[in-house]
Amino acid sequence: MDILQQLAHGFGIALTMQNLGYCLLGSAIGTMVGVLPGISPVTTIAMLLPLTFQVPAVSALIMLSGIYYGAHHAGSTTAIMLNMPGEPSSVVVCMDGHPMAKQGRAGIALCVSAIGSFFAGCVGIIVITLFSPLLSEAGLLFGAPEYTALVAVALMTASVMSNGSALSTFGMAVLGLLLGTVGTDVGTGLERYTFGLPELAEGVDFVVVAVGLFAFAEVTQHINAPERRGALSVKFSELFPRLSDLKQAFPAIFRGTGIGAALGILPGTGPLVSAFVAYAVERQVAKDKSRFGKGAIEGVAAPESADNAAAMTHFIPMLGLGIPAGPAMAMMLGALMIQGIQPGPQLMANHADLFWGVVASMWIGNLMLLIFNLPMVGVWIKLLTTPYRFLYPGIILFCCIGVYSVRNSAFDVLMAAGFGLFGMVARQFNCSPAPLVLGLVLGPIFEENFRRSLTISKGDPMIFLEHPISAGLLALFAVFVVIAVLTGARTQKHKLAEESA
Amino acid sequence: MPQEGFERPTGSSRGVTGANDKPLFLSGLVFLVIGVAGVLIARRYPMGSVGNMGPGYFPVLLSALLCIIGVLSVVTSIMRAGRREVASWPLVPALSVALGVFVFGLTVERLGLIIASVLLLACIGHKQIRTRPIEYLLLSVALVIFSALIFVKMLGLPLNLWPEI
Repeated sequence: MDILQQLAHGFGIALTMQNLGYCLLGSAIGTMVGVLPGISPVTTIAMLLPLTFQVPAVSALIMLSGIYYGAHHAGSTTAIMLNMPGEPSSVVVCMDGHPMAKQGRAGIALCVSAIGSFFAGCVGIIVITLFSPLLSEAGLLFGAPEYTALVAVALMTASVMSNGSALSTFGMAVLGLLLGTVGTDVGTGLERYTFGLPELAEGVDFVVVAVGLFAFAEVTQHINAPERRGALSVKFSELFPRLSDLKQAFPAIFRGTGIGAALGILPGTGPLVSAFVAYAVERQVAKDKSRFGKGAIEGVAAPESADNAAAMTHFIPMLGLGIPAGPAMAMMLGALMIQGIQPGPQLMANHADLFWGVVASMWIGNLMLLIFNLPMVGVWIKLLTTPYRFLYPGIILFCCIGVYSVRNSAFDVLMAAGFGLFGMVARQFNCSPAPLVLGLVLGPIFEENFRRSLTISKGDPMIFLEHPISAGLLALFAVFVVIAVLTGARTQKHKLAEESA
Repeated sequence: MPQEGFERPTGSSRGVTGANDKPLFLSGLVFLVIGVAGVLIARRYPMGSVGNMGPGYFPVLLSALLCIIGVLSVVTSIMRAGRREVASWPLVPALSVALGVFVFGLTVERLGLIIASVLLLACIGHKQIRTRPIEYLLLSVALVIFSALIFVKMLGLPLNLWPEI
């Protein structure tokens, strides 16, 4: 009952004219970003940061979260129509979505993915509503050892679950942690790794790094990509699937939603991983595996549902514990911190309006997205044909202004240029940038709690195993290490088999 | 939301480095260099003890870990079966974007937002992009006016539009 009352209160906040407007704006921008390849939610949030300073924190978070889940909702449109992910995590939908479009079943694929996204989004919001309060209550019991273990697990999952070599991604996470130590040491006031530059005394702002590694490096990758040819068009009447299509799609939607909702909660995993896992599961349960890759409707429904469920439950660690689960979440947390809101388990108690207002707005936003993605899908398909050469100059300019505005620091812009180059190099070496951003955000939390734990225990590392929650988390950490080593060995074998074949 | 670089397994066998997995080999070297530099710089910070860590303890620990990861990467890259080359470098776009952003950062406070934006757009509109000059010019003018109006006039960011005299 209490939850329903709180939610009703949240709707009171979300349904004000102003917040409804920000929700609509966020969902619309999110859909646009999702449809256009080469602009990710991280980039968009960076461009819109200056806008959020002017509005109340609730409205800002309503808009930013709308962009995030809106992009995940709409990314499949591009995947189906152009065989190109509009948003990184919709890459899985390409595999069966585009073949469906080639067979003249684009409308059905779009419809199923919109229904799947909507359903998964709703389930995701229910999970947020039920789970975040529990987590934040549990979080109040967290001491230094528990936080240390939690951050370690988050970074390890991020490394194992990223594509590419687990070794490189783990290296990126450690590099992120090391970057997090730049600046004045809280305990002693000593400046570390600042090279005498006063601009570095407060540390490296993660917005700078995220914009460099994601926005600038992304533009660099897309700038010379071949022009997109005219997209296929879809008539409204072609959108309705037959009953037999729905019968095939619905079980896949349920499975995908379950996988996404569960995996999304773990910091470091997220939508892309969930979509891959959901696709693999569908292949396993299907009677006829050969249909996959040739336009199987489950191959669209399951990963798209998993993607969207995970995009929703991804909010839980941030809202419940103040631990961002991925780079986009870190950007949103940054926007809140600029507003003077301290993240952590006490967020829900101190800023109940913020939490329930945002959760309520997600229901509204999800409904808006269903309208955007079904009756209005033609409008977005037209947008697909906007050439990237008209988009990228604006992206770079607005990102520069966004980076500058966070601390009114021109030095930050210079650093973002450097991180842009570093991001390009990292991509060339197959090093995923997400764990680095996560490491940077979590680094100070990690160091503080690590040091405090060992001070409490007078240097005895057993403290991490004596506390049950932290011991459990460390067990999870060990499981991920084993997975990393095993999958590493398996891909190795796979390669060998490929070569001898 | 992890993003990945593309793996390009190729059949060519020119091995200058002797490593099979070149991206892994090179990233290992980068980690190693940063790790060594991290340890060398952090030597000057007080280490403290495990029970009472000084400011140097955590950075040294991380740098050392980074060195280990670097060495492991280099070793695995040499042992790994199956070749993998580094994808072709997007050098011109990367350098032009970095240069443009850098110039923007250098000039935005002294010369104002409008001149800095123009310089940025001039740097990133290089020849490899198939935009007609007139299109690019119109786009640039629109972008500069738009950002001046929205960010400075509407949102009130503390930025000068023109150089301070």
